[in-house]
Amino acid sequence: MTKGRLMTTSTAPILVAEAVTRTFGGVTAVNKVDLVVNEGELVGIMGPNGAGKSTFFSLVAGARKPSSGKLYVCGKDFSKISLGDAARYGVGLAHQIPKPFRKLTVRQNVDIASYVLPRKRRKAAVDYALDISGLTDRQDKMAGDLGLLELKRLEIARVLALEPKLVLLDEVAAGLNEADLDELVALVRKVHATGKTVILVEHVQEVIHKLAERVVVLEWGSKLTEGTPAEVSKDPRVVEIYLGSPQNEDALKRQPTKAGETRLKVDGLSAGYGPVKVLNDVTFDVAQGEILTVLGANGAGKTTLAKALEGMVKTRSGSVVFKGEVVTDMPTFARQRSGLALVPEGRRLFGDLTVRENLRLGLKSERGFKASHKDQSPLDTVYELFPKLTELNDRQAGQLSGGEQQMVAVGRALAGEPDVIIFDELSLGLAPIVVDRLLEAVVKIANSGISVVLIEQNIHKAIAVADKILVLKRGEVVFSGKPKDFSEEELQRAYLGAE
Amino acid sequence: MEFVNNAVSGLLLGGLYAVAALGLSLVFGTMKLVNLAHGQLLILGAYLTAMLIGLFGGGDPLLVGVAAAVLLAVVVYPLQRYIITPVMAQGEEPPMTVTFGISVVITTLLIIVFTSSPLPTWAVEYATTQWDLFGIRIRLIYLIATVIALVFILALMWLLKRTAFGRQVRAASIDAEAAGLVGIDVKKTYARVMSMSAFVAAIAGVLIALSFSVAPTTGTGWLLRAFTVVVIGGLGSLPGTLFGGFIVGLVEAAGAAWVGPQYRDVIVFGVLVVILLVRPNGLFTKVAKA
Repeated sequence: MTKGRLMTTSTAPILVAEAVTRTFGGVTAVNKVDLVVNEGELVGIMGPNGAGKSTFFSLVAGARKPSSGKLYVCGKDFSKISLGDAARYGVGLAHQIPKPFRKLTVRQNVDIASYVLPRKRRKAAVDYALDISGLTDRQDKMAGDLGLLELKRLEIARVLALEPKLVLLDEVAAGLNEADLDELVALVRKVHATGKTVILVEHVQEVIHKLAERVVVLEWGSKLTEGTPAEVSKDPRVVEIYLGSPQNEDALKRQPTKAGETRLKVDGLSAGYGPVKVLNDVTFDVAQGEILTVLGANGAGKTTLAKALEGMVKTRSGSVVFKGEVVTDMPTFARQRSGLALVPEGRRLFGDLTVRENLRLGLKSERGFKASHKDQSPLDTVYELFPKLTELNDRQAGQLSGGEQQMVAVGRALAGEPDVIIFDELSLGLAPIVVDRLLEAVVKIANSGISVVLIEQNIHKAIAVADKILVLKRGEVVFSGKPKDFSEEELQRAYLGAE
Repeated sequence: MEFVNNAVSGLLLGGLYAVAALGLSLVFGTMKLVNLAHGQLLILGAYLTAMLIGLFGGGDPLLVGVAAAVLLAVVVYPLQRYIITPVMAQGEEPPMTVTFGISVVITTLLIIVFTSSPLPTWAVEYATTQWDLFGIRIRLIYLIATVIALVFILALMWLLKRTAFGRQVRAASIDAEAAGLVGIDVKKTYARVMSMSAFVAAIAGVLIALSFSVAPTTGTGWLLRAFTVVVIGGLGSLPGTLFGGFIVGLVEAAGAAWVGPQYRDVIVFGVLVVILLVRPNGLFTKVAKA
């Protein structure tokens, strides 16, 4: 199907942003963004985590006001409107996670949205919204009984019932499987074909590729580039922000290890939240001293994998075998105690406790168990790896810089004398030099015989240190093998959805 | 002189209030759980002591009270571990409702076993002794309660600050999920904290029974008073609990002297409402973890 088949005769702009800026305290989330969207367009916004997509969206949706710059949406000055009035001016926002009133029927849910309209128009608007979103035959079902795709349909129906001119879709594809995704893409096309202007923020790049006529790429709050999906995915700058640049990884090269015994064996693992299935049939294993690098775009299920391995997310099917023992139903604390450690995304330190207290919490001796017989206590190993921590011992962990906190988080995991450590987004939000330090530490950890599962955004560096690579795409394994068999094309396919 | 007398007796009564509120404060500060059964735990501590005294054929209430406190701690452990903790994942209200249910069960059991009439008072000398220090009257039992409150608060603060167990409790209260990542069995930790709270509550119950009349239904009144102390002292702060106790004691004494003893409760809870309006997080605002 060709994109942009609906050529609107009117090209009046529905959104005009001039140097729109939004700051939170000292942080500039959106920095002087210029953007014009004409009536009838279908525009996609993409960018890595923290690029400012959500903040920009919240400005257009009237949920926040710009700190400076001009923002006109549907002819109204959005730097002056009252919060919550955007719906009346013709802006409808579909949320990433639909939260309908579960005890009301589909129709009642849509009906509530239509209350911004004059009484006479409401019934027709609701009928129309249900019809377009394909829910007419399910309108008397309880919203709480809907499946995920139906919930997404309902979310879109609720937006349509506002009779909006501009439809904003925030990550509507999140959590959907392949078949559902196609249906959703068809639905968005249908909505667009009725003459609505659509702007979508999407992590699932495939959706952007299939739908958008024009793509805007944000990075660090600023607009990096815009163009057709094909142009944008070829832009070397876009490739770089998603995949990093493939240079200077020699420092992290490590000796190929002779694989020892298998430490962690994952077989057919599936997991998810509520109706959303995030991981599907994931299989891999990691041997002693090996580094397995897990790659995948945002929303591919990497963090869910980490949590499922550590028992923080319930496993739906499949098994996790650790050192020959099935741990699939073991609680998190017991997994840590048996030697399966996780350094979680966002570090999750105990901010009010000192660095020393944070580190000591991981020790086996803290629970009255004997520390295993070694020449040095596990904390000595930690201080050896990160000498800086000796100076920081008495500081509150919450007051440290991001890099220092990450060192404490790694140290806390090492204190438990683990056999396997899972690092979830070790380098997220850290400066490149700090990332190199941390990855060097990871290599040292692996060289000491500990197995490593490394979940990373810093793709090229993570590949450089890997013994094995696992690539996830929407919860499924799309590549599993040695780094030498892994090509750049493979990578681009997984991250950018280029076919 | 009468003013100083009232102030001192109010302050020392406050010590008793502090020890009565301590368990509630500990549980709230570490688990964010409002234990609506706390008042009944106080009373149950007194009844268990009475039962044990009967069983032993005598004994000092405070010493036997220690045995009763251990017994109560043991009884409460599984209640927290298998009834309260499992519903804590569902938000704040379900566990609160469960503790309310437990309070009703305790009251009913006490009425069935001991009837609803008050517990016979223990004939011990220190319960009625009144010292006269330069014209200031001091009730010995209040003084004992204040000392016990101080000892318990210092011991709990030391436990939370300096021991491995304390670190685990603080870690679990900051981020229960991350606590699991460092190998802390959070469910067991919660149950231990509740046991400690029950231990302190039982001792407090004995002190209450030595100072006032106690019946199966008096628990609710003590829960309200303890709650007032905890709110005034800053939710979950242990030293704040002591100050909260002193303030409530002083306000009560002042109210009784100037307005009339029958208005005690009106004045105390009136002060609670005013404080909630002005300083919703309590007078000692910083929510200390110890």
